[in-house]
Amino acid sequence: MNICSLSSFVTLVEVADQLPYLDIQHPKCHGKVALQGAHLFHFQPTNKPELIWTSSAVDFKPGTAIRGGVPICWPWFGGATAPFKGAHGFVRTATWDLISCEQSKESVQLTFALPANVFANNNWPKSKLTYVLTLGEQCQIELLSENLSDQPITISQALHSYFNVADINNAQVSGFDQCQYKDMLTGQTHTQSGNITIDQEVDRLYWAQDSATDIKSPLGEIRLTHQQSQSAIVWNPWIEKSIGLSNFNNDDYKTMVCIETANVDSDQIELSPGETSKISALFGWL
Amino acid sequence: MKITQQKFIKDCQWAVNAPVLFSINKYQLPKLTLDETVLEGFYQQHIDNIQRQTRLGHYFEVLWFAILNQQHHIDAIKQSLAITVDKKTLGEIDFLYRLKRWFHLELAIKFYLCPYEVPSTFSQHWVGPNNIDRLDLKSNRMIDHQSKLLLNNFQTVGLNEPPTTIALMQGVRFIKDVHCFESQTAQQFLSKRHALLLQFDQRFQNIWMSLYQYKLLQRSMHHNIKWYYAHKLEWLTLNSVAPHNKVCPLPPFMVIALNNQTEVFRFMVTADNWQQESIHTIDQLSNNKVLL
Repeated sequence: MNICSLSSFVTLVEVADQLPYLDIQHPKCHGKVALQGAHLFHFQPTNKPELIWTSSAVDFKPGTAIRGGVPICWPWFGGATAPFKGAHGFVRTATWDLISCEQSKESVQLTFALPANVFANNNWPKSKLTYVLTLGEQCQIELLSENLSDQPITISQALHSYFNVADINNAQVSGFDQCQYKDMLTGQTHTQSGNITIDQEVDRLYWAQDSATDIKSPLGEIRLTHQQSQSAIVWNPWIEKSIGLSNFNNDDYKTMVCIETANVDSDQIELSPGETSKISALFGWL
Repeated sequence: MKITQQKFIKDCQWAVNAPVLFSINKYQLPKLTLDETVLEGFYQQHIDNIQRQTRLGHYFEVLWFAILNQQHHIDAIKQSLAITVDKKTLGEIDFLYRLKRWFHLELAIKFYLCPYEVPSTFSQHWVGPNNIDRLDLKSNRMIDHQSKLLLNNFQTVGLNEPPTTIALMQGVRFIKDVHCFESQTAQQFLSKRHALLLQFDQRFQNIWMSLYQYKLLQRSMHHNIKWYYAHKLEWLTLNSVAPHNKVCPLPPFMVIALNNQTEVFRFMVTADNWQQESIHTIDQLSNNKVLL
């Protein structure tokens, strides 16, 4: 674990047997970021409700992915194809280096880099992965991928954000009207009509380039802007699937919705040697 | 209790090497070195203060004062500073020390037990022997209050900018005994305990048992073992064995098994209903979502 010098708003917290994390106490917000996965798992703008959602069932055990917050899925999304192993890639359970920590009156900016040996340990071609997290009234996330190998590489990626909605029965997701989507449960393609309400298991891939999504709930309205992204995923496991999920309480589906900023499926990216790509998301309370 | 020089030195060594249960910015601590001769000098110079100590928390601060005091690059130390703003005392900080720049160090010494059969990684599942304190609550207090005391009030202690905060909670975690209480010899006890701790990669340091189990152990254990009830200040290391300390107190207590006046092992003893009550407390509080 390599850590640069921290600003006065940021402290490194370590609890026995648990994942070390950075605690950010800025006048504009409070945040927590685990070094494993550079994983933001708490974000609350000052005088506003908790914006992202993390399950209370998470035990923050090293090596186990955190259920909630913003896991980074890279370089593949979903299940792995041989010879690779594990769902959603290998970077969300790897320990990242913190290479810079800057502060201003408006925000704290943390820049993480994935140690080079992580790629080699996972038989992945030489790459560079940088993650920039800016926490203030809003949260800005940027993931930069660079191909350092001498062969083209194909990546799919998602910023798998879990949002706090307090009551899923009174939540609505808008911004995908007339957008085509693939229902991942049936494999069929449809066109979205109006807002999305969730009253059953939902797992949909929307082909929505650089879109904006609004999430309305009893807590208020969250605006999520997807940048350099060709697709977005809307997910809620609902009752039955919740029971089988690890680090997830049976009734957790009632208080969360995932809206993921992504380049997946037919939108996966091919990076030539030396080429760089970026995906980013911006979210905050309206 | 009159703390001997030997114990004082052992306790300083214990403090430097003790497990860290929780920390903030631990990486900012300097590499600590200890010189026994310097500690002997410190003991002689502060003997009255050291022997006046009755509370473990305060004694632990004296140990850390001795430790910081002998680090060559630290050129100023202030201890136990009250932070007062507008005639209102917000709290007290343990140490301010200067090592090129100023650092604020908060300390805690804690002993936590896990009531479950399989020790948990959730910090809310580690409870104090009196069933009052919990690892997560104390950690949160250190994060939210103690470590923030100087963030906006650094001028009250004569600083021009906020110091770097370091917080350190050291101590011992005890897991539930399984078979040690059935031991007949010290060797049996030690090997059973070793096997139990090994099951969990030695992440935990010791075991606890109920008063009932302790009574069974007393009966089954070979008579060459004598039982000594540790004074709270001996929860770190043993002082000289006091002859009066042989009457079994009310739990919780730490008991030390002696063979020829030498410590062979120690463990924590709780009231018989401690396990049930602590699980009940945890269950009640689990309705409040606690994250780290």
